[in-house]
Amino acid sequence: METIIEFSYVVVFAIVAILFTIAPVIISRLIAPRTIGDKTFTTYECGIQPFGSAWTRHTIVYYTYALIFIAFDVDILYLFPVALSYTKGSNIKEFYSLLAFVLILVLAIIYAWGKGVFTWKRKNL
Amino acid sequence: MCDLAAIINIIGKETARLILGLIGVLIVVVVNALVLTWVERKVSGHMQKRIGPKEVGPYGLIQPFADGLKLLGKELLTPANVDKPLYYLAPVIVFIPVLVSFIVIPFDGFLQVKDINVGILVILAFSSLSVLSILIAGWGSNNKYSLIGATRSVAQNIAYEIPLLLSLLPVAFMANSLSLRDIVEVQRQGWFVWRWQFFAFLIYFIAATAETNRTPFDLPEAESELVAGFHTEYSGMRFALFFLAEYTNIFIASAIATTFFLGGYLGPVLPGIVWFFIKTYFLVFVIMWFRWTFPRVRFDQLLNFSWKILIPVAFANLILTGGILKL
Amino acid sequence: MVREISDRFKEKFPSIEPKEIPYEQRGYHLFIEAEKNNIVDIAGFFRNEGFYLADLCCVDYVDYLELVYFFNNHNKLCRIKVTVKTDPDKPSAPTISHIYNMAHWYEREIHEFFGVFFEGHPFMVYLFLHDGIDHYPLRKKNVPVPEWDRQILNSFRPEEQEDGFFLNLGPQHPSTHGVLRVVVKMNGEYMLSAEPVLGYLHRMHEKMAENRTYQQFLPNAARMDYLGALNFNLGYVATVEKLCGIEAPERAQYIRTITCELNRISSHLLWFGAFVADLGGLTPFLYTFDDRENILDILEATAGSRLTYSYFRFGGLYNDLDENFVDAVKQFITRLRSRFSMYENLVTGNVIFINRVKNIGVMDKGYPIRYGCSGPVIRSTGIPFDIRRHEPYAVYDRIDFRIPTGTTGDNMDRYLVRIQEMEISLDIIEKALKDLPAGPYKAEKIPKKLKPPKGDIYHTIESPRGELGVYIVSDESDVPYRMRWRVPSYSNLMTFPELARGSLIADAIATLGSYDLVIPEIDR
Repeated sequence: METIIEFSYVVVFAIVAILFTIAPVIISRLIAPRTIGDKTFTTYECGIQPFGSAWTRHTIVYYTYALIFIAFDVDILYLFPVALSYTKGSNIKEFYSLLAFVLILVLAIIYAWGKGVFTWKRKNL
Repeated sequence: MCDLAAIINIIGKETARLILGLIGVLIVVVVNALVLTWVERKVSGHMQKRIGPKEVGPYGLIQPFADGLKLLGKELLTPANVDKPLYYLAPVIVFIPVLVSFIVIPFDGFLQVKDINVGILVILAFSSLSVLSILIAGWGSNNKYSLIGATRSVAQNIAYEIPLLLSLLPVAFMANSLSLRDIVEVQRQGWFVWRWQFFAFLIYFIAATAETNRTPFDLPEAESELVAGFHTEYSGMRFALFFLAEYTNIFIASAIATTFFLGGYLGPVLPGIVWFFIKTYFLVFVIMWFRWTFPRVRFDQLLNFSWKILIPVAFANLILTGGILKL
Repeated sequence: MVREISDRFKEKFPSIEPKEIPYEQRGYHLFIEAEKNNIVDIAGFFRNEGFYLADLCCVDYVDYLELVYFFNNHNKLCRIKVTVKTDPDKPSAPTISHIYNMAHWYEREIHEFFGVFFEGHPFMVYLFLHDGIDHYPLRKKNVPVPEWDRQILNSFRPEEQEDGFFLNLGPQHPSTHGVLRVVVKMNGEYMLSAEPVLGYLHRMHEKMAENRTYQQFLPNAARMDYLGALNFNLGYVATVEKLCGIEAPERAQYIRTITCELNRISSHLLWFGAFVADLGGLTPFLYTFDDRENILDILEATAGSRLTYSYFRFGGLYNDLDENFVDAVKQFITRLRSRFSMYENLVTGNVIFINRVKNIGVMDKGYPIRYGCSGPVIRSTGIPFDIRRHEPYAVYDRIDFRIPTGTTGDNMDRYLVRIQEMEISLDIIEKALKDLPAGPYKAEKIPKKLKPPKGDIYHTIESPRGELGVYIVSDESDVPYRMRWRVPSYSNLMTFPELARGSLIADAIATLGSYDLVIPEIDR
């Protein structure tokens, strides 16, 4: 029950957020002027006739960063439940498991660092 | 029957709370945006040896209204070769994470829309949605500057989300709760920024500046490189919505910092809500101060700063917190 | 130096006799008449001797076209003029762009303005006149552009290349400070190639000069470089004075020095703000404008205008100094001196700023020789080349000043050199003010209509951006037969494609900002 109520808050707020953004756009539609000109609706290309499409092959230079990120993001979320019960017991074992968990994650950074993911070189062309 | 009546009673109460909360939050959003546009113009003006707005109303106080009206009366241009569904969608969904985050922020002991017991997770989950709208805007515009700005924004978001999580985590460890009100209440014994978590505060603040795309991390809209970045093709009210979302995001980022590290609404003499706004707006001012002081970092420096410095320090801080709690 | 080069040249090319020319009258020491078949060897000879190509231009003498190459040395003054004659019906010459990279653009320019075809040039497309032309504009007779040449000129079309992600920086772009367009081929955040496209502010001042008397052309000079207007004004006036043998009085020379240095500071201040703004820090821009405003006020009271000054006249000045001038300048010097430490704290020491400029856009010492870059750009590479010292004009020979140099030739060095130059300019002004003599500000008996004797002259001065050269050919009429402007930003910008290739877009923007480009000056 409590969960449903909490979810309903989120849903209602999300819906209101959408309405909140649509309303001014509609008002603006009604009162704003419209121009008619053949160059008005061209894409901005620093003042010249646009050429080529933006939807081409585009190199994502930070692809490896994205890969590490996914691993990290998921793993760190595991720690949030841990936060709730960490101080419940006074067992030092919990600290060691936390330590082990974090160290393994840190290894991933060290590995990526050693692999040269974090160094950007000027390309020699 | 008794259950049903109870349920109806609860629903009635909750609906009333919801509606009141919604109205309150919308007022805060709008007023905050108006205030921040004025403050930013005034702050930047004085930092640059100008006076800033002064013509419209006393001290230019009516200036934000004039700006808003002007933007409302501007033509909504839709370039011919955009991906229309995505182009229209982007400014619409930009507000969802912003508004949902307000649910859990405790303005005062009782002034909170709803104290969800996984409050941090709600904010974090929805805040990663904002990058989605930037990506959609950049891709949907069919503009090269927008696309580069959008991809940069994604990179920035994924680089700074982890230090953000890692800086909030030790606080959750210490407070033993994910509810924002609990976290504030725990700080009656002392603010977390002074209780072991100073570095976490620094990391959070840097990461939050990056997540809100503010200088020195304003790469997605780096004007000297990418004209206006992801919102190059947006005009009039659609542009204003991105603008509004940005200011509200700054507010939320500062509000979370206040809640987690600066004792939220706690403070002597003055009522809690006043303390909350004082602390939050002080942090907002600091973010503005950054913008008018620092040059912009470079893309690789931005990513590497997060991975080489912030994340290792945040990990060390987490281990330290874990150790201290077990002592 | 001149004799040595002359001897060594004779050894290498026994058939050509280098003529020694009175430098005081002509502005160059040696004159060599080369042929089409040996110009490449001659260029190679000068390259080996450590000379750089100062200028390459063309003069249409109707019977023949003459290509004029100016060589100069960074270490010791030795200007050499080499000419090659070519047939006006089918003008052509071998390219020297593989020896001097800077000839690359100069040859393109000559091609579109004169129709001279450079054999072996890799990229003979429009540089300024992208809208197309129907005849070659700088020829004395109307020569239509043949169809085959039009096709060559029009062959740069990035929009028709299928592969690659092309990005346009400019002409309407916040970081190009005007209307420069750079067509960039991108690979993610990296730049694969950068091709500057000029001509969005092309006004053809060189052609205008051929249709106006010497006096009428005066205001045009300031319109080329709106930030260093007085320096351009002086460059033109001093050249014509030298050509006609007019001597400006002492007081005028001192005032010219003082106002030119003030102008240099105002130009550098604007650059300072704009450069940091390019890197994302918007605040210094307004601080430097505040300082610059003082200079503009001082100069306005004296010269009558705030930006495009036309203060100098042949044989002197337009009028004498304003009575408050000396006090105002002294006040300004104290004020600006106190501001430098603030700039140092706010900008120079900023970690983000240092990371953005240090070791970015590194030029080694080969660049100045290959590209002929000048001004702060060459001094940042460690070569103390300054026209004010190299071949002094006005009263710079009487004032002792230091030439700041960098070590690595990166953006940081270019930044530091300019900052130091501002401080040194203040010293120069102070010294000149102390020695400022009384007397007339204008030479007497300057003819209303100037008719310089037949001949040519090449005169250079140091503009805020570097070596400004004016080449005038006179045919004894009151209108210049040919006037050629060698502008500093132009040759500085030429290094950009090489520096930008393979770098991140943010670094390339920082490098572009560090050149201190003024586009109207490049486009002329």
